[in-house]
Amino acid sequence: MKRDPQGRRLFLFLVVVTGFGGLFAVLALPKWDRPPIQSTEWGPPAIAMDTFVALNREPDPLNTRDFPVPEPVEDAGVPASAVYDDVEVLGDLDRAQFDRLQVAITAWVAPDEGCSYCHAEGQDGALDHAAEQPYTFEVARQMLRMVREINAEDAGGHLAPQGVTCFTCHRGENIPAYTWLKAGDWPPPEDRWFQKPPPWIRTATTIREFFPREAFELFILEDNRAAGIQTRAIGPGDGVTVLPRNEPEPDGMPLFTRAENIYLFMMQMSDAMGVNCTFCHNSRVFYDWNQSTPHRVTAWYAIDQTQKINHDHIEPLKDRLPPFRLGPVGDPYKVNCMTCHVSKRKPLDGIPMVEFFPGLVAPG
Amino acid sequence: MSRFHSLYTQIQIRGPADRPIPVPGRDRNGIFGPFFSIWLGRIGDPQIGRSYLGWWGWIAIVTGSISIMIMGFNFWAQADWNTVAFIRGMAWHRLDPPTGDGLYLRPLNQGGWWQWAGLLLTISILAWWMRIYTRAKALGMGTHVSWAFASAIWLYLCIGVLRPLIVGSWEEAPPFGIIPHLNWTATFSVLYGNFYYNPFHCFSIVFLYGSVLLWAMHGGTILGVARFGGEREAEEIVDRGTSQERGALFWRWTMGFNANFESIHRWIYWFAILTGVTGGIGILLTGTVVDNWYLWGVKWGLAPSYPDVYPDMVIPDAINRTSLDP
Amino acid sequence: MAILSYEAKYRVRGGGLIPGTPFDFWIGPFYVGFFGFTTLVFSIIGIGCIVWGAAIGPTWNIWQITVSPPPLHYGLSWPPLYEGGLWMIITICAHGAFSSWALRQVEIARKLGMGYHVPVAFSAAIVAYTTLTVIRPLLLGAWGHGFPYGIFAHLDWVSNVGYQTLHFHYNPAHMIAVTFFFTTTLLLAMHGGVILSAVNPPVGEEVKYGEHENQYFRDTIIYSLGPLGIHRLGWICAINAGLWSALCILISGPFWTEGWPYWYDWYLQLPFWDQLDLPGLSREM
Repeated sequence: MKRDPQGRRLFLFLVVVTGFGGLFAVLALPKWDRPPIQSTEWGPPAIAMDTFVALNREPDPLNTRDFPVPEPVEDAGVPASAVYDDVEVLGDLDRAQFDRLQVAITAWVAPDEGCSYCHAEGQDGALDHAAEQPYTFEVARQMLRMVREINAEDAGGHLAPQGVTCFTCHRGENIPAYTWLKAGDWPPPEDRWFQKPPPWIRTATTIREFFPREAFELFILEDNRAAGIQTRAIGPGDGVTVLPRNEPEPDGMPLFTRAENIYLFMMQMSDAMGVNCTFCHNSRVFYDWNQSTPHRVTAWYAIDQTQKINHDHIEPLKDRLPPFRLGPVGDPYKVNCMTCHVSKRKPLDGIPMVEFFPGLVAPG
Repeated sequence: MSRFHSLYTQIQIRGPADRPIPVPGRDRNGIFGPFFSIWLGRIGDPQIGRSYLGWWGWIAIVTGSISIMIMGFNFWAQADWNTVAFIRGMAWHRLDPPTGDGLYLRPLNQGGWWQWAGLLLTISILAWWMRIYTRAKALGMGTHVSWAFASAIWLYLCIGVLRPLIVGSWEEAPPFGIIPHLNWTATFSVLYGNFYYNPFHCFSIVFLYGSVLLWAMHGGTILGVARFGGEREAEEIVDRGTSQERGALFWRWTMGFNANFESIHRWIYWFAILTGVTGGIGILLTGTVVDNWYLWGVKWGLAPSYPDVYPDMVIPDAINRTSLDP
Repeated sequence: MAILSYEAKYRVRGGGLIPGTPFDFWIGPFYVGFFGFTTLVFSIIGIGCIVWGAAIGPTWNIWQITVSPPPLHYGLSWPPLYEGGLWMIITICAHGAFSSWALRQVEIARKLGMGYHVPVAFSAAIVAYTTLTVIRPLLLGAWGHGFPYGIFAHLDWVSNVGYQTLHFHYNPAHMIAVTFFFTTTLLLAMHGGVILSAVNPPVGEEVKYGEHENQYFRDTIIYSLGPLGIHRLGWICAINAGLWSALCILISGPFWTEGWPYWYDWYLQLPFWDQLDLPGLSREM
């Protein structure tokens, strides 16, 4: 006679094994945080407008790199344009400061390649300013214009007083670690029998990369505002409806798709800064500025500025860049909030940057 | 005490299988079983089947299967017939409703698949409702279960059919898909200004939580009096025994009020039904009668005001500019 | 009125948890008992503090009245009375009242010879409440992380806590909790429906019993869990709805500080996706 005719022991055994196995998988597979957690309250008390920082979380390696600042030098008394030919952007800068800035830029963007990353070398190994320069030369010029321009902008205090340098994004890499590209589209309806799939990036290995890039295209490449989606009236016949219902927007994008894209963009934006929705909004009414924190004003200008960076400065580079520096649909690597912020409210925790390099602020 | 903890069946007694109650047409349509499962027997009845498959069951299964196949094949094609990509993306594959105005049938690859999948799923669900209804009739029972099911169908129809009919577009109906329907839920709430302020959403949540509370109370009571045979509820209803008396007195002494074995089932029946009914009303009113539930809440004095803690700030000039403005 | 026809024989003395069973009497339909007494004391103080909090607040509008926990900067220290102190007292009283209520249910169950299933299930709700107002605030280092005691104020709190993790629907424990809530309600509808339909047959039919209930669910969904089993399942599902809710808020903040969508990196990084032929996808990425 069997000792356990109703399989009671087997049952218990299976329960215990699945229980512990499941528990182990849940604890071991995903990353978890653990206390101590630093929490900060941004709104009125008791309505949970808080952000969290896990103090013992492994930092992003990009945030552990030191900001290279060459020793200050005395002015030489002559502008760079008097000494070097072909100085378009920094011609007015003092020659000594110009040299120092060149050294710094090399350490920020091409520490391994050195000067020859952007400058042609002659037979003797010295820089040959007369020869044809690599593509990086013109790109660097364009980037310098960009940095000088945005450091000079007010932008609601987005960059002040820290300012940006090449290091804010590049962190010692030729191409910043966090960038985005347009994704290719699916074949047109005539060429497929199935419905258009969602725009997830299925080749990604992180959720940040996995989320559709349409949201970036909409709000930080093209000139759209990520606002105005919520109706500011109770209902029909009660005040002004901002967006008429059931009418596609001028760009043909349905209202609901647009709302989903705003949601996605806001998530990517919050995550890039290590904050959450309540850093700027009281979520009970997202659109209302009177119930939003002052951060929202900064963020509003920041989106504007990022849109200009991508649209005015980076996108035009696509004609100058070699194919291996372009994405699958031929666009250059573009910036989003993560590129500079790298999960921090302020890049590199807000250490002063641009004050050491007056050449990085456009005059006027 | 431990002998009566009632959480699982320690000793299973096995007799011959229950024979189906004789009903006209029963033998012809009987399928599946009866057979026994020792595992199911640990918490409930060990007998599975014998079940019944009539015309309504056939219709429900066939249309339901086609609907699932439409979704599945679209997902698979979206994964380029790569099986690993198909499985990997099971949570995020989606089948979207057609965009744009008008309720007409779209080409298959531009929303038509969604429409057909939805239509067949609806037929399947309605046929299943007929099955639930007709089997109760055949057994000479009341049709209460089918009307509770109708409440769930009402919510489903409100979201996927009735609201689109009212607004004249399929665009804001939810997509088929696991993560996509969660995204839809969140977006719907944000777009219409915060569902927490939708009073019918409030009602629905109250009935949902209330249902869970009532199940805990009722389940706990019956398990508590199981040693007196309390789980034989229908028998206790027509002929009150000590288990019903004890169960009733437990609540009478605890909170001054008690149901009886019949009326507690009316309570739970209505709580469960009203969850779906009120939820559906909340959906129908959204974007039709009310476009922003937060502002509705402000109008009716629901929204608390909080201290003004922010420094003065200059709101950007172009703040009311939207992409629609010139 | 206060005594049901069959009630007298059940009203026996003794059997309480405390030796001597103090307060062993009934008032109207209510059993008092020692824990009834403590429930009453805690409730009076707690409700009194809520009314006090409402009185010092800006409004008597029932929807808007709220008693707030202290601002975060008080951390785990005791705040001034009007800056969260009332909330602290209410929270303590609520714990006292809820656990007294559960213990009173135990005493009543003992008097009636019943199992402790109701107080056990109620404990799950108490655990959820304790998680929200004590355990999570402790882990996050400030009482201010508790929720405000107000009808729409607590909804605003819930809303913001959800958006603290960007998209709360992606919280895996929340998914499980919601599934338990919906499943429990489905089971409730099915169970309530079948019992009512058995004892309320159409005109001319006889009342039906377990045999028909079983046959109905075997006919329609292949399997009938049976009268005892369905109460086990419903009870377990209801308890799980509460416990998973507690877990889903417990992990939001103390054990995961980013948005919940970003928690799923591990899924995309599972080793067995390597066979995926990435370039084969017909969309350039």
